[in-house]
Amino acid sequence: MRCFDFHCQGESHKATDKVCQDYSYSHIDEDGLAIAVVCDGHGGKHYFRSDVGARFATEIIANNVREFVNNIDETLLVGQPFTQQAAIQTEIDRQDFRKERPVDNAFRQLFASIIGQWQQRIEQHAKDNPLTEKENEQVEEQYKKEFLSGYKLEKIYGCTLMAYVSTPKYWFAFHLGDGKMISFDREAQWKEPVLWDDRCFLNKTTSICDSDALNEFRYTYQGDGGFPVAIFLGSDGMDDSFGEETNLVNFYVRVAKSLVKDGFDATFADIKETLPLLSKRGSQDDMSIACVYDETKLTEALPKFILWQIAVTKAEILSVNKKIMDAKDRRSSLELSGSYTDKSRIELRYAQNDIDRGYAQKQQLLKKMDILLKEYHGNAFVPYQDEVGIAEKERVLVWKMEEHPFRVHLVWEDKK
Amino acid sequence: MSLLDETVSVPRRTMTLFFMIDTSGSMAGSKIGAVNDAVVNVLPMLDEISVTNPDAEIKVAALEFSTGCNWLYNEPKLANEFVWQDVQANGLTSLGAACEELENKLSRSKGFMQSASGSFAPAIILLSDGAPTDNFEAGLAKLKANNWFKSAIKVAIAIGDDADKEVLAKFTGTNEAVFTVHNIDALKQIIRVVAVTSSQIGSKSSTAGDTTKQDQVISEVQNAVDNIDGAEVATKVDGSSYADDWD
Amino acid sequence: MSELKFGEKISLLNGGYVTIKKELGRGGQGIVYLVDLNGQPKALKWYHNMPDASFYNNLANNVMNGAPSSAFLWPERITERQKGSFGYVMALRPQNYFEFGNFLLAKKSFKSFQAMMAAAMKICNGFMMLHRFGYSYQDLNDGNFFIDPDTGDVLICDNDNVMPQGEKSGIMGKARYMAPEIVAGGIPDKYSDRFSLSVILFMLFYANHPFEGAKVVACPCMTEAYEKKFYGSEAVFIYDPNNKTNLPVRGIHQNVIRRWPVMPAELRDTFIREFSPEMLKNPQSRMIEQNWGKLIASLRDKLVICPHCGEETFIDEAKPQCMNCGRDVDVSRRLKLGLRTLLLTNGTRLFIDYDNTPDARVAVNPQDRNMLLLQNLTKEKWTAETPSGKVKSVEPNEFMPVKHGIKVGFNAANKGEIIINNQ
Repeated sequence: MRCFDFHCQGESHKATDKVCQDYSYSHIDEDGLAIAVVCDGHGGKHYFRSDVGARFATEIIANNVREFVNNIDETLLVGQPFTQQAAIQTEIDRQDFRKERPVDNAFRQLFASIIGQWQQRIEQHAKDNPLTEKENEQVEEQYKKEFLSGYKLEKIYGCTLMAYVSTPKYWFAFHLGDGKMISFDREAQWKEPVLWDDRCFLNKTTSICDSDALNEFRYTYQGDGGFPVAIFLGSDGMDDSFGEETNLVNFYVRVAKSLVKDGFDATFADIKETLPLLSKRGSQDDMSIACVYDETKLTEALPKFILWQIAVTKAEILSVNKKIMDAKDRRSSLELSGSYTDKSRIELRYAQNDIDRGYAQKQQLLKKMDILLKEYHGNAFVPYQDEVGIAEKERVLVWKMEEHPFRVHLVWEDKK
Repeated sequence: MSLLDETVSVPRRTMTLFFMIDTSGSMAGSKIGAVNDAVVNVLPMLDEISVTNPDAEIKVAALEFSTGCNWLYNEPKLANEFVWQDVQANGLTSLGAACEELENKLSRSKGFMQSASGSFAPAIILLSDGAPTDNFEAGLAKLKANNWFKSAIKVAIAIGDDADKEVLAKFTGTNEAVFTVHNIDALKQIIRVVAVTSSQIGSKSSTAGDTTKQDQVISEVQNAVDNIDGAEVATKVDGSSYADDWD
Repeated sequence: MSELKFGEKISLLNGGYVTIKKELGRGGQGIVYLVDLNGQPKALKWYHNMPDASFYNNLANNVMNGAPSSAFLWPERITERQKGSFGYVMALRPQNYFEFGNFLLAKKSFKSFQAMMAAAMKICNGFMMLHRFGYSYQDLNDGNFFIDPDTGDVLICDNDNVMPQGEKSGIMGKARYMAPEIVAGGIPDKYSDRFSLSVILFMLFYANHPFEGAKVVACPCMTEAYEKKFYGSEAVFIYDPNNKTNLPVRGIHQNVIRRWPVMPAELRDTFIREFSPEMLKNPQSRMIEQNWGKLIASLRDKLVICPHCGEETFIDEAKPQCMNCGRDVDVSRRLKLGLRTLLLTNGTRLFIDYDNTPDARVAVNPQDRNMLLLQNLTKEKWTAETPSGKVKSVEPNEFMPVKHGIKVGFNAANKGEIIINNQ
């Protein structure tokens, strides 16, 4: 087992001289206990000490998880199949025969202890650290007042949290708020191990500072021998940089491959270099990542990771091909309709744009595909090809004669 | 060596600006002319915001509604590629149907939206000079259950005194986001101000919990309205204020 | 572990059999099946393992003696010992009853305070009857109670652990619901049941545990040693006025933080007393079920419909304000009933006796909006005596005016008088 974690200031925070509000942690204890934590302090003006809140949450999670693992009756978890529990939010409308299970009560106790100790820590911190000069200058009056009165102090320190914990016999993970946790199995299949909470949407998220925080924890456990080969925890700065989830997963695959091929040190150095760049190109937000992986199993699974990338790229190519073909069809029918209206001229232009953009995308995808094919097959790889090609051939208008019914008409043909 | 090589894609984040335009019969003539003119002129400004904005690119979609409703294009287009096609006015005011149609498209699987990661909340600008002739309440009720709509910046422009401002306030969730114009010049100016302000604010990374983007847009547009002759913030109507589910 | 198959026939003690239809659920002790008994659908609880003979005999006795009250889903029949185990038959739980645990997690909530009060009353009454029968409850916890959120009706299940007092079933309840002296190793009795009752009532009203505050959430894993401390030797009430070490924590104990200040002061005072260190150490002085019943009745007497917002509110007579809209509520019109005082506002329902069904409804006279009326919701006729001495009768569903000085006989046991304070 190995692990790493890294967090860095977001590009937009650099501009406004705001500290990094993310915090991360990872460690593998001598007894094989692996812990990875990512906490993301809220960015709003209200949450002016969320960086401290995120650090406290991270430290408390690491400590409490250790105590939990050391004291829990292992039989509650060992043997359990992969089990996911959602946040408690809606009223149930059917009879629930399931009794509260001891394992769920145990997790509830752990989560309560995290919130409870976090509340204590921030109260102490607020007592020990009156408003700084900078805070006095920058923080709006209403929030300063709240801080001084101690009323809902937790808002000022608010953050999200997620953690992954594995022992030799079982693993569990929990999550409160946004950010994404992605795990990979031996077949390089990925999933989000912890159920999503639909209340996290766009810039809204559940939080440790919510009045109902305890019920907002969602968690997953497994003790039947199945373990992720690698798991990545990323703050929302990460997933916001990638848009569609496959892009994020693809990045983690890229990291996983690098861990195997370039080794831990080189990859970790790369991560430190890459995350600030990613923030600049992507979300502008603080970035954090924590990872636990099984070196041996990940090495074994490497070819499958490449195959996964090849399959995803292939699907992307096919979808671009379809766009190109559709646009070409639209263009032909517009060109050959004979009469032009304003609307059809506009449509024609769009069709041409789509074709050009499609080919540009395709060139990118083919480059990517060839890199991946080479990686998988070695230098003897056969470059990817298909009949849609990588660029539009020059076209000429030719008269074409149809034999039956006999008529002559104009068509576009690729120039020979 | 960087992990961000050719095999990794980092797409730009996007914000979609929706125009919902009343093209019922009463809009015919100078009103619809002004709308066409104003939108054509504002598109290059949106493109400029999009190009110079590090946070997100701006896409535009437009829905016209009269007896039925119709999207100008079947996907949101980049501001610089959006070619405005002048809309014609005739027929009824099916705002309810337009709400349902908007609801359809405010989704990822069958609609105009991408994954919430990497997206900004959309901005929606509704223009109308009349009152709905269909079941507006039912359409709006569906729309209000939509997460994208809940998060969206929503602004309405009431053209003249016949516009049902109460309906528009229900749509935006607050009467403060309803702006009334009384002449063609004011209409053109307000379209520009609202579209530009919504795009600027909507396409910026924001921080949870502060004043909402909608509130920021409202306050900026309100300031601008003071300098436009013939435009005003809608007088207080009894719109049901719409509270967020997440607070 | 013993499981039963569809269609299997299980013979009952004293004749007859049940046929297994399907599984309804399973827990630590056993599986509950839907079964058919002479054409009637019933539930069969089937134990995973054969409990010992004394357990079996006790259960057989309980079947013979019958249920102490309608609150209990009591064992109706017991099976022969067979297939390495045995079980007992009980009535099926009707629809719309939810496990108490769901109320604690706020997955389900009471439709009204009236329903909440009805549930409290029914639980109290159930305990009282149980003790009158000479039983004590050994395994009391939130999984035993099923409540209808609309009416507040309660069903108490898992009555296999009910034992004659002084005997021990060998199945220990959850520490959370045990009296400190039981956590320390004592034998459950009616005094420890009374403690459990006060815990259940506290949780019913406030949806949090009375001892679970800052101290308890400080530990990430609840071990037996911690349990013994927090629920036994070092138990501290979260709102102990003299010991603030165990206050509820925001984000965790949100229900009690919200409800503690709004619920009536009497209730707060009672819990502060019942969970005080002195009372924890003196089981004999714990409040008896009858007094809990009286307290709940008196709370219900102060639960009225706010004439401004139409919501239910408890009235603090020193400051009669609606707890929802904050406006003053006119409570000058009352019904004196022995030591009780019932407040009369339009829409409020009155509970004259303790049977949990409303006996009267307050309405407005359509001809004179300033005059309230009382509607007879019982099946008996009331006899009223006007201040001038005229005797009138109020038939079921009929109305009578709320006028100062009218004396009403609701039944032989309950006679009241209408008082209007400013007259």
